[in-house]
Parts: sequence; structure tokens; C-alpha cells
Amino acid sequence: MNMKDDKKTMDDTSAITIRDMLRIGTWNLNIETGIYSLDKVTCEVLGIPYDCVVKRGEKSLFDKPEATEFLIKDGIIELIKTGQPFDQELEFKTKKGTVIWLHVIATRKLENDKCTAIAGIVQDITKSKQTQETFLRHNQLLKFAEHKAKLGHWNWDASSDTLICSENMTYIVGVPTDVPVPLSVLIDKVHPEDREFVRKQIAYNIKTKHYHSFNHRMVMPDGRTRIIQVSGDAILDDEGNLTNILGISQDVTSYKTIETELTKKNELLIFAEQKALLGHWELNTLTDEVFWSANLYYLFKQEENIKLEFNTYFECVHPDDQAVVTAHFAQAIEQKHFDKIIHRILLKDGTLKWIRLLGDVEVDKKGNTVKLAGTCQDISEQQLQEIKFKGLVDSAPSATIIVGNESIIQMVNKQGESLLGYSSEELVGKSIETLIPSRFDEIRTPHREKFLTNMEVTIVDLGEDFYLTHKSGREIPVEITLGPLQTDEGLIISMSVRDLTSAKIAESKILKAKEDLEILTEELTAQNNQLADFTQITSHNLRAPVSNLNSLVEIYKMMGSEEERNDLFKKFETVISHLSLTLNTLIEALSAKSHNSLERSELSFSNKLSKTKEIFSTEIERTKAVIKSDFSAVDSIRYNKIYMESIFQNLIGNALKYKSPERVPEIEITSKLENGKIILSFKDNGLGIDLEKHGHKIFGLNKVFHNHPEAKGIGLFMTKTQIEAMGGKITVTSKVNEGSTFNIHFI
Amino acid sequence: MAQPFHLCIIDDDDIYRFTIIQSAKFSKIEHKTSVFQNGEEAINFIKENQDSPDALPNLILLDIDMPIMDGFQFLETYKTIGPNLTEKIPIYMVSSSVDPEDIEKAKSCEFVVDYLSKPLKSDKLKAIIEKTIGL
Repeated sequence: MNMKDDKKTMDDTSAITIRDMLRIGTWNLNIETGIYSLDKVTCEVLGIPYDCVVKRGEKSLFDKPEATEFLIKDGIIELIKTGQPFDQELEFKTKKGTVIWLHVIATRKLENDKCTAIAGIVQDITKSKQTQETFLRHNQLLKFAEHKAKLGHWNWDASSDTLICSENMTYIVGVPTDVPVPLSVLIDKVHPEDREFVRKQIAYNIKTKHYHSFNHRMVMPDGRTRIIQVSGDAILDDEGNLTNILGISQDVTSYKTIETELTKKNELLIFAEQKALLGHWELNTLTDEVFWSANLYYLFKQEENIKLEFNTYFECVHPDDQAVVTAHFAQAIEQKHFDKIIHRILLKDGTLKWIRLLGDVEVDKKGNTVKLAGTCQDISEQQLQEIKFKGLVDSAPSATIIVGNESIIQMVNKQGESLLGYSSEELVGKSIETLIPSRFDEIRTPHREKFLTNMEVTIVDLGEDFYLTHKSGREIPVEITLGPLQTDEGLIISMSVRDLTSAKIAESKILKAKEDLEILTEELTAQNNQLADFTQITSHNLRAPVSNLNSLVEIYKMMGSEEERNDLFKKFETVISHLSLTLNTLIEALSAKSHNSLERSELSFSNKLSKTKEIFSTEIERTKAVIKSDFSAVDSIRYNKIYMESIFQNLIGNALKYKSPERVPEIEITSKLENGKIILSFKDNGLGIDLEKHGHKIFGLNKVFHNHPEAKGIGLFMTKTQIEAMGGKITVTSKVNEGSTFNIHFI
Repeated sequence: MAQPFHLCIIDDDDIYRFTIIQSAKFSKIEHKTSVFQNGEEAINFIKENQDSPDALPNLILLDIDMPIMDGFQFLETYKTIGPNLTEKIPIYMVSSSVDPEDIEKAKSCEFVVDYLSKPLKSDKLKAIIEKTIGL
């Protein structure tokens, strides 16, 4: 356009004012000098002083990006050469670092076909440029979002029955961009089996002028089937006619997959709950709102659509258990901890069930209980098993204690209750240690570990007698058999307790009997020994005089004179008389031993004593012996008369014979009862016998322990033989120079 | 031999002692005899004379069964004296006991030369005396 032909519509002043308002600056470039003349507005826009000189090609006072530099340089050269007008939006940076956008327009001035100057205008377009940038960025974001969400939007036009689809949607569906697409074309893209459904849905939406969302399948260009969710808004004109529908189509395949999985899992949960006779529940403790899972309705035989509250449950609780349940829930809310509870429910139709509730407590920020949630399981079957198990334990012949985790007693049968003196309620829940005396703690440790390792039925053997403590504190001797049982709820140990009290009594009886037997054996052995001794004595006591006789005969033969021989006869007489005494004694002893059933009669000790005193009267008088007696405990006995007299005469005779030359003899005869048996004692203060030296042969035949002229060594042998023949025994205690005591034990 | 043979009899049986004394006489060996009725008397005698060897017997005939101190008790006490004596005295145990235990016990004693069963015949006694003298 040629400026000269243009009509002047505005004076210069007005033009300047408008240019100021629009912030349009003017400038020109002298080609010859290369100097830019900039007006005030241009200097302001560029942020440089008005008087500053700007020269072409020199480093300017403001920064330009490389692109701006190139565009200016190239554009000016082109303008000078060809006259092509310069019209660019350029980016600059002010001295302060602020980015500004300038619209620069320039034309050339020709003089004699030669370009002498360039004139132009410059306008600050930073603001509009920024708005444009923001818009662009938002549009990109929208596209990005659509792409990410697999979402497209569209606009259906009622009059043409065509749709304008967003870029992303055209990409998803595979239709041209920015061109109205007939609805039928889009419906053809729907999965064949869903087309009819989609048509009907759209028809319905148009008819009702309200858009109801729906889903349909669609086969993608790559062959995959996706699920598309379509939703929209119906736009009506002032008269209520449908003009447009703005809608969104979204690929919801992945959501649908998750949803399907969730549904499946939920179905599985329901199935599991049904199988486990289990349901879950929630109780809002503030509003009393209750939630039950489907299976709980079934367990409680309730209709699925009833309004639930705590009472729905509580009314089913067995009347006998209601107090416990009330207390349990109160405690859970109070202590913020829901313990396991097992109780009965009695349903309207009369069904009785055992249920177990497990739960958790939810608290708010202030720590107040707001919700209880947990599971509820029908354990009637298990409870029935447990009742059966308890019945089994109760019917066990011996006391049985069932011990569970951490040594806690879970069950005690009737026999256990009566053995230990506790009731089942007193023991269940307590540690088994309550029943075991603590002195066994240390010794039990290795046995317990061994049992837990081997897990075999074991009879507890601590190497010593084991006891349990009765409620009274008394200890009961017991034998315990441990049986391990691994269950779902952990290790259960059955302790079968055998009361050994009666066994102990029997054992002590046996021990007593054994002792008695030992005594009897001892007696029999003694009698055997006596027999052996007797044989020994016989040969020994006969051999000595016989060998003497032999020697005397030998000497007799060697002796020459008759006188000597006569003297020798005295020796023969001594030996022969000794031999005959020995033989007579032995015969007597033999006859005693061969008479097991000697005649017995009722005898009195005091009577026998006075008779003996008469016999020894001369000796007693001569020695001034004092004889004391005490038969107050027992004075009579059924015994053989001759033997009894022999006992008295031998023992009193001995006491008188072996009196101490330094003391007046004192003899004390007493009787007493020990374990129902009579003991008769003869105590003297005579010479006494060194029992260490002679103890083993004191009652032997021809044994004398003193160089006493009258000692013959027959008395004690005969006394012992007679006493033993009657089944008794004789013992002696003695101290040299103090005296002896002979005790006769009758049977 | 400067001193006559000294025979010692420890036995409580006077008939036995008499027969031994007689038998010794018949042996025609010059000797003297000392007798003790029990072990204690014999021990006392040996103790008293342990420093005068001439007074001690050359041979002891020891009985087992005696009152106060029997033959074994004598040997037990003799253990403390015997080794101190300048001349060892051979001891023969002479008893009527046939108890194998007695015989075994007697023979196991270090001072006992032999165990002899009663009666002790005169020729046997002579042989022992001769053996002791070393004839």
C-alpha cells in the first residue's frame, strides 16, 4: 500500500497520543552512518536512556536471544535488498533481566533506487504474548490429561446429528480431527454386540433430554477390547429443546478389571465366611450404628434389610450369658481392648449356637472409643467337640489336667478336682506351677526341655519322689504321665496324675514286711549258724579231750615205772570226766534243739527268782549279794519250766561266780514289754567281759574268759541253746570291771 | 650250746601241757620248759625279757583257744615285739581246731612256722625241736 494515496484521517498530534497509549514507538536507521534514531517510547520500551546512541552491528545495551539477533540481522538485509517488509514478534531481555516481547515492523526508504534509510515502529506485546503462552500451555495440559486418562470429549449437535471430537478422542476412536463426524460412524466403532445397546441408550438420553452414563465395549485398532464409559450433559435452549450434548468418553478397562477383581475377592470372602461360619461386624459406639457382613445375617437368622443396632445382636444372646456379654462390651469400651469372648446365642426359632467374638477397638484423637470391629464365628461344632473332649477327660480313670500355652491349666477332670481339693473354676486359667512344690523347679528344667524336644508320651521321672500340692498345702505323692498334643491353638499337654498315696502305704507295708522277713531270715541264718557252730563245737570240743587221751595213752606206753603210771591215771580220770561232761552237755543241747514243741506252762518271773535265790542261798549269804527285781511291767510268761529255771540259775549263778573282788555283788532282774514282746534283763556289777575280744565266742561251749577256778564254759552255751530252741534270743552288753547285762528277748 | 633248749608252751589245757612236758622228756634232748595259761601271760614274759635273749624261749607252741588272750590275739600283739628281738623265735600253732579258717589264718602269719593238729605226738615234737636246734 502506498502511503501517499492514503487519506489523512488523523492529525500528527492525535497520532502521537494514540501511539503513546498503545505504547508504539518509532525509529529509523541511517544506512550510511549505521546509527538508529529512537523516539522516547522506543527507548522506554527497550528500557534504555533517551540520549543513548545505538549503532547497527554493535553490542546493544539490552540482551537478545540468538533467534532474535538472527531474525533482525537477516530481516534488515532482506529489507534493504528486496524491500520485503520486516514484521516480527521478537523476544528481548531488558537490562533488569525481564523478558519482553516486541512487535517490530520496518520499511525501507529508496533514494535513486538506493536504500538510504529504514523506518519502523515497535510495540510492546509482552502481556498479550504471555496470555497466549498460558493458553497454549493449558491446552497442552488438557491434551496431556486427556491422553493420560484415555479420555476424549465431544460435542453432539442435535440439528446435524454429528459430533466434533477432541484430538485425543479422534485418536482413540480413529476418526478425523476437527471435522463433524456423523453419530452413525461413531456407533460403528462400538463392539458389534454392544451397538444396539448404545443406540438405545442414546435414543433414550435424547428422548429424556437427560444424559445417563453407560458403558460399552470397543475393539481398538490394535485388536484389544476396551471398556468405554460414556457420560455427558444435555444442553437445552431457552425453549427447552435439546441442542447439544457435551460428553466425555473414557477408557475404564483397567478400573473395570480392578472392580471385577474386587468383586471376585468379595465373593471369595463371602464364601470363606460362609464356610468358616464366620462374619464380621462393626459397632459405632457413639451412634449405636451396626454393620454386619452378609454371613452374620445368616448366622443370626436375620433378614438382610433390617436396621441393625446393638440390640439386634444382644437380643439373641442367651439369657444366662447376657450379664457376661454386657460386662465384656463395657470393659472393651472402657479399656480400649476387646478380648476374645465365647458365649451362647438363642435364636428366635430356638436354635442354640456357640459363638466366638474377636475384636479391635478404634479410638479417636482424644483416645475415646469410637468403634468396635471384629469377627464373629459360629463355633458350636468346636464347642461340641470340646464338650466331648471334656467328657472324655472327665471319664479318664485317673486325675487329668490339660495344660495349654504358657503352662496355663485349661481343664481339670472330676478326679483331678477331688485329688487336689480345688474346684475346676479355681484351677482353670492358673499356672500349673501353682500345684508343683517350688523345690522341684531346678530339677524339672532339663526334663521339661527334653519333653518339649521329643514330644513323646513320658512318665515323669526326676530320679526322686514327685509331689503335687493339695489345696490344703499337704503334698501328695504322684506319678505323672505327660502326653503332648499339637493343635491349631498351640501345644496342649495332658497330665495324667496317679495318686501314689495308697501305693506309698502299700510300699511302706512291703518295706515293713521285707524288714520282718529280713529279721526272720536273720533268725533262720542264726539258727543255721547255730547248727554249723554245733557241728564245729562238737568236733572241736570232742577232739581236744580225745587228743589228750591219745597223748596220755602214748605217754603211758613210754612210762616205765608203775608209780608214774598211777599218777598218769589221775590225768586220765580228769580227761574222761571232762569228756563226759562235754558229752552230756552236748546231748542236752542236742535234745533242746530237737524239741521244737517243748511243753509250755504259765510261769512267773518273781516265782522263779525266789526259787533261784533259795538254791544259791549259801552263796548269797557268803558274798552278801544284793538281788533286786522289778517285774511290774510283766511277770508271767508261757514258757518251758526247766529252761526258765536254767536261765535264772545260769545267769544269777554266773553273776555270783564272776563277781568283782572289789565290790559287793549287786544283781538287778527286770522285765519289760517292747513292741508287745517280753524282755528279761539280768544286770550285774561283776568282772565284766571284754566284748571286743571275746564277743564272738561268749556263748560258745567251753569258752571261759576268766582264769576262774570254777569256769567250765558250759552255762552260757546251754542258756543260749535253750533260749534259741524256744525261738528267743539272748544279747549281752558288758564293760570290763563294771559289769554285764544279759537281755533275753522272748517271742 | 651254752644254754639248754628253751621250750615254751602257751595253752590253757593242763592235760595237754602235761603230755608235752612228758614228750619233751622222752626226747632226751636237754631242755627247759616254761608254760603260760594264756597269751597275755606269755606276752608279759617276753616283754620283760626282750633285752635278755638268753631268757627268751627257743621255740613256742601256741594254742588258739584260750581265755583272756587267745592265740591269734597273742600273735597280733607279738607283731610289735617280735621284730625287735635279736633272735627270731619259731612259733608253732598247735590246736584241736579243724576249722579251715583257723588253719589258713595261722599259716598266713609271718611268725608262725607251721600249724599242727592236736594231739602232738612225741616223735613229732622231737623232730620240731631238732629242726629248731639245727641238728
